[in-house]
Amino acid sequence: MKLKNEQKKVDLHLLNNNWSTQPKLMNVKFILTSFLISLPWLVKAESLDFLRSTGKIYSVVVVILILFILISAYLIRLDRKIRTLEEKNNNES
Amino acid sequence: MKYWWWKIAAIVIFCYVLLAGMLTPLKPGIQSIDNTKGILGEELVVGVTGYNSYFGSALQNRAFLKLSDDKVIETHQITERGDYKADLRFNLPDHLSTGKDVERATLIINNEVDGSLILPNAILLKKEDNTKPSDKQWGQFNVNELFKADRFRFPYRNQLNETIRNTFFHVAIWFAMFILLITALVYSIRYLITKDLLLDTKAAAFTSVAIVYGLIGLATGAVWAKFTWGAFWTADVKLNMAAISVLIYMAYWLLRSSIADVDARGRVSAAYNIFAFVIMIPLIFIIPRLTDSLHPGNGGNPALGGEDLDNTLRMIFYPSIIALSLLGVWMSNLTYRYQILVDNEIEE
Repeated sequence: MKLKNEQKKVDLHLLNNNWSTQPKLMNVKFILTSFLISLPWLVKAESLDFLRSTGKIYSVVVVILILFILISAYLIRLDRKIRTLEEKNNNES
Repeated sequence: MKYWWWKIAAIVIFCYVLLAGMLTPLKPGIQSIDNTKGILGEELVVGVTGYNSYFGSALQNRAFLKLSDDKVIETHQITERGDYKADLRFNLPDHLSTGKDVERATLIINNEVDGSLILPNAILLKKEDNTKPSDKQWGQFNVNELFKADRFRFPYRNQLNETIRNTFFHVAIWFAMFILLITALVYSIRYLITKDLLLDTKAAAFTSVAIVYGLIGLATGAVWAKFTWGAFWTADVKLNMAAISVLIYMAYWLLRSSIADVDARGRVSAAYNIFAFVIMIPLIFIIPRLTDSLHPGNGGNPALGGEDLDNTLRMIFYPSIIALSLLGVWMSNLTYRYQILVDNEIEE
């Protein structure tokens, strides 16, 4: 039993040093909101010309980015829900 | 290995889709022409800009104006300016021989490197009142004389250009969403038969990932529309009906979270899931086909066939559906396992 508790303490220590809880700048919310704020700028006329260059290939890149970002957002949300569950379990024991 | 081989398969297949889908070049095509009007009986000069073409490198360039298979004229002079530009000169006959005064001709360029480059309805041929008599006559078109290029390349479509590659992502994600929703439907029906709450949790997990896929489908479709139709969103039937379907499934989540009793929640949400699936079929597949729609696959506008989805695209498109479905099943699985942990916590 003692060993188990020690193990959990180590886990807690690791959790507290995790990137998503520690530095404010690397916050997921910060990244997502800054992306959303930059969206109108991204689709401004001049950037649209860039996206249209060489046969509109960059619009395909934007489509792949959207796919990747939304799937990542779902996984990050799930990750956070699991982390709160873990933290709750650790605090109880 | 027994349990996670399909997760590795999902990653490997998706990497294949990204690599093959982005690195395969497009077939050469005619991007633009600087002259779209020709007067019968006179010389027509057309400057052509090609895409992925090899006018300069090719040794045997030929160009044709075609009204029908037995009414074709060939250029008498082609001046290549590099691989992408060429000036074509046609001596036009003084009549169209169909009795009409105006007709649109298809422009065809052929060489041994590119094969055939076709621009349909490219040039408007017009008869003027003072048309000079010319001894030039329309000739026969012999397809067997033309060079063919059989390399592995995606089709070149005007207006679509490179965005034809979005087929692997935008179209495939909607297909994957349907596979996830059908799985959720099966779990809901099985729940109503067996009353096993684990099946209801599975149905909910698959639906939540399917909603994310639906949102990705709407967002990627909006970007594709911006670059081909010119607007992120239009009042098109297909677009609105797809958005409504996603909203109907979002209501499934509101419904689930608003009922506290586990058994009642299971029964109501399973019944709602069946209703949502049944209402989605006419919304997405039937109503857009009854009216006019810009979206391919609706209102007499074919998709998944012809040049829009040829055999080269299929070799990336079908693996993409498999990869995105497997990824979706993986994500649903994680959601399901998390939900089981939460439910056990509440029971304790």
